[in-house]
Amino acid sequence: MDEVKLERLTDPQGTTLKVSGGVTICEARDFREALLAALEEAPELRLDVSELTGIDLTGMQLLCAAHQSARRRGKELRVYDGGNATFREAAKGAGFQRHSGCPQDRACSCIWVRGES
Amino acid sequence: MTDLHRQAFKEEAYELLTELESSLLELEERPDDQDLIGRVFRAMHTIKGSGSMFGFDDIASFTHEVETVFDMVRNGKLSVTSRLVNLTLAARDQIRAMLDAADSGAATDLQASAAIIVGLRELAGFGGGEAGAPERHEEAAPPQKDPVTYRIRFVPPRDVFVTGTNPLNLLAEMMELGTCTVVAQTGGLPSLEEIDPEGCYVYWDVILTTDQGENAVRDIFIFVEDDCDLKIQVVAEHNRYDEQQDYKKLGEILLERGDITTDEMTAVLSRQRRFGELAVSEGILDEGKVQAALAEQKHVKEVRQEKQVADASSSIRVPAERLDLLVNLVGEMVTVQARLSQTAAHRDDADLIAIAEEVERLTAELRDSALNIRMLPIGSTFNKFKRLVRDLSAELGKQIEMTTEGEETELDKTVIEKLNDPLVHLIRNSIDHGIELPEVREAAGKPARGTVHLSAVHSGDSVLITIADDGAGLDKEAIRTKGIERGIISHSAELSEKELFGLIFAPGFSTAKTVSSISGRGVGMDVVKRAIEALRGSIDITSVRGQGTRIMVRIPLTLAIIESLLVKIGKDAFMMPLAMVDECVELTREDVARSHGRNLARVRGHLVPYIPLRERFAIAGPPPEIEQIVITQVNGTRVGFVVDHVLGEHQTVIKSLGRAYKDTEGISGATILGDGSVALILDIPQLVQAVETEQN
Repeated sequence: MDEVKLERLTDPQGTTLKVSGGVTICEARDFREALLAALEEAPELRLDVSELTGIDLTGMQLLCAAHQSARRRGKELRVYDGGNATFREAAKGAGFQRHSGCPQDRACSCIWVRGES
Repeated sequence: MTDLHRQAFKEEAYELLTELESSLLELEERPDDQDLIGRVFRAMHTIKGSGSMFGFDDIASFTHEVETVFDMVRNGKLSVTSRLVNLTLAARDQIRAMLDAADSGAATDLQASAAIIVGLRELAGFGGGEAGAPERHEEAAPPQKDPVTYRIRFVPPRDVFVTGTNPLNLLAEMMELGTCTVVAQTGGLPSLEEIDPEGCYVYWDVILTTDQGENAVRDIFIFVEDDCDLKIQVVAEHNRYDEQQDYKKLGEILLERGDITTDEMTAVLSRQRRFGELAVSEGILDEGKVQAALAEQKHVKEVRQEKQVADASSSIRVPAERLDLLVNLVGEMVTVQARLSQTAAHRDDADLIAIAEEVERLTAELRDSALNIRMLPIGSTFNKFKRLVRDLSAELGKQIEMTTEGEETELDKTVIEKLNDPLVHLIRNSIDHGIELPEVREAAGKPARGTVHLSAVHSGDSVLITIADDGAGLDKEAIRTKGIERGIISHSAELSEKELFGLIFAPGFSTAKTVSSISGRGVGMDVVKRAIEALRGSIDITSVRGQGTRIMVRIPLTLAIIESLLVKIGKDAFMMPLAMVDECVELTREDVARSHGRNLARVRGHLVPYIPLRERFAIAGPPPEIEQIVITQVNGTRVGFVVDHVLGEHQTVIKSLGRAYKDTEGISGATILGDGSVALILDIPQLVQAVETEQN
């Protein structure tokens, strides 16, 4: 798996955190820090995973947790996958892909919800 | 064991062998195709299994050897080589021979079997006596069971990652067991601030449909079972007959899973809203649990649907004779119905006419569906040719690829059977005379690998089968010389290209300079032509020297019934196949006088030659004042037939004329009319040809 790379870009629309490479348990701590830091910054965080080449369960848990935190702070978190098949397959394989949100998600903003893909 | 069962096994085995052959040939082209390898393995497995069940022990033990090898291929221990394909094809032929011999009691060639087995064992990498032994445990595995759907709740411990287990791998393993739906339960996930990034907070609800049994599922969790919470429940067995009913209601599923109590459910249900939504908004359930239950509903529904599709495509085996009898009876029925309609019209009785019309409609439907039962796709015949092409090209040192198109085109079963030999001959000709040796092809700037393209397409009430090769094409001069040599044409004869190519179909004509084992024995093309004509079909050749030859065979869809035009000359009735009829025009005495007895009619500015049938059939009596010309299309030219009256369209059930009248010129059969009288069916191409020959 390629080494993970975290880039933060800030533009008028908000902050984009671009995650490329593979996210595994080894990088989980760093990934969490990066997510927390990015959440601090702007009212809207865009997570670009279009160049992700792999993600394990810890990575997916963190995405979910970040979503939860964002909502608690009244901020918005969006995941942009650009049709990344690796990401979608990983989500499907782990049973994350769903058609409605999780228990905490009353606003239907779940990051995993999308049409049949 | 009764003969009936043995017979059923044999029929099934023959079918499997045919399928096996085509799978093997495909495998040769795509040696990595796991799907194909699986197909070959399953075919062998089924033959072995049912073979031993019905007492074909020799077949079972022989097939076992092949199956063993393919099991290794399937597990990636052995790769597909052309040697393996060759041996397996030989094995397939050997099994077929064993099946054939099983009836006649003749001994099979045991040495051939032994040779194949030795070859296979060498390939598999284990020598002599104990072959097959390493795979014994395969035997012990229980036979395929009906698939069962399990509901699995897998709750890994928080520190699952620390022990080096990746729960996703376990899920992936489960997916390999069968159809699998995974729903992650993320309800326990804390927020980013609180989360330990190296802990596992998720658990899963998995719905799995598999035929591997519960132990196979448990085996996956064998190393984590002690630490994790694993629940496996059977939710549906897919072998029952009660599958038609809807799957459990959402509430029932949740109740079964213990996610909700009966009291809670009743409380929720007392308010009439969608249960899932309600339960969530009540806070009894979290969305994830409902999600899992919904997924279960969907999963089971899908599995059932798949099963239903499989059930629907199953078929009943009926002996061909029974079908023939049915079609014959329908033929009689059509005739009787015609009589009923005619009688009803005569009586001018409204009630009777109404009934007659109803019977007419039903008969037409009955006729169509009876004929439909006999229709088979031509694909199976095409597949047989793949093997032929493969074997022949190897024998002749040529590289030939066969491509096919329109395998799904349906034809009457009898037609397909009778078409086999002529097609085999035509393909052999293409391979032997048409496609050149690789060196010759390369020298001519063509790819070394030749192509024989076989296609079938519906066209009106017939099917057009084309055999096209990209070989040398026909040598017109050689054909001409040969024609003169054989005394078929004279030295001075001026022949069009079409006529020249037509010489190939003359009896005793062969242009090959050497006689090979494949074709060129001088019997052949004339036999092919006769066989095609016996099917009321026609055959045409086009060819460009150096570029290839294309042979087109046109065959009617069915031999039993044709649409035809009923005409009268004097008191006699005749039928003309409607597919050939273009139009009808009048012919007056003046028209005849104007053309000075040259049998030409002017139709919208074009001259159309005609054949006066009254003269041709020597029917006594004077023709009426105004006669009718039925203009037909024969081999691309318009030819008229002069008759007294045109009565109209007619569904004609063809009856053969019997042996005594078999070779009557210009007549291809007969039919019985509504009033019980007989009408002859005109063989239009033959009539035209006869007149043309006379005039030349």
